[in-house]
Amino acid sequence: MKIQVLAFGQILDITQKDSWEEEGILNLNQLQEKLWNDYPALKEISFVFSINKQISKDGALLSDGCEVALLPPFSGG
Amino acid sequence: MAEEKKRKKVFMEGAISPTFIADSIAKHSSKKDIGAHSIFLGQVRNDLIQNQEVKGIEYSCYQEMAEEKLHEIRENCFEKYPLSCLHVYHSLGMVEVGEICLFVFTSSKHRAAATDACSYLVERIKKEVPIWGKELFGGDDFAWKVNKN
Repeated sequence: MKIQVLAFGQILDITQKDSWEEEGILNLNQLQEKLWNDYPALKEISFVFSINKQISKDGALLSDGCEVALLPPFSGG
Repeated sequence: MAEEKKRKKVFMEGAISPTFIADSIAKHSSKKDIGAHSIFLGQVRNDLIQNQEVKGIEYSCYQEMAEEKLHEIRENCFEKYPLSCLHVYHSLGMVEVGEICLFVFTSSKHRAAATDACSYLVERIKKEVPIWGKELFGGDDFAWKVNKN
């Protein structure tokens, strides 16, 4: 199972890439573990996940081909 | 109709010019049932952050999600208030201190709906729309903007 991951704002400063694929990740908890492992600096940053553009709760299940975004606090306006 | 609203252009590259705002106001003179307009303009401020002065803000967004959320907010606003029309424009990319980055414009028969709807839109846009501002100090230094009330 593949998912697309998108990064924005200060998250993008850390990942240095705005989109990539992850494989074999079943839910948001697993994704968070993987991200913390790959980018330890993310542990210091507050962010929420969206799945297919909907803000999603911790542990939400992922589906093949879904788009998961890492969203730091919004600061429009 | 819904599709047409969904595709309304919100994001503009760079600052929103006073001329664009003036033209937008002028276009409403043909709508004779309007009795009140309310306008909110967000302007980039020269905050001091750790003794460094902000020179400008570079905006980025998750555009597909932002457009969906703005569509939902717009629909909710029309359900909640008796408006003739509403317009929202937000900058992307670089906006210098003193320039306009957000333009919210509501129109109705009477003033209460226009003013209340305008505040409602601004609050929801700031809280719910995935837009980020990077405050630039000149040179390589920057800070990520934090929205206050």
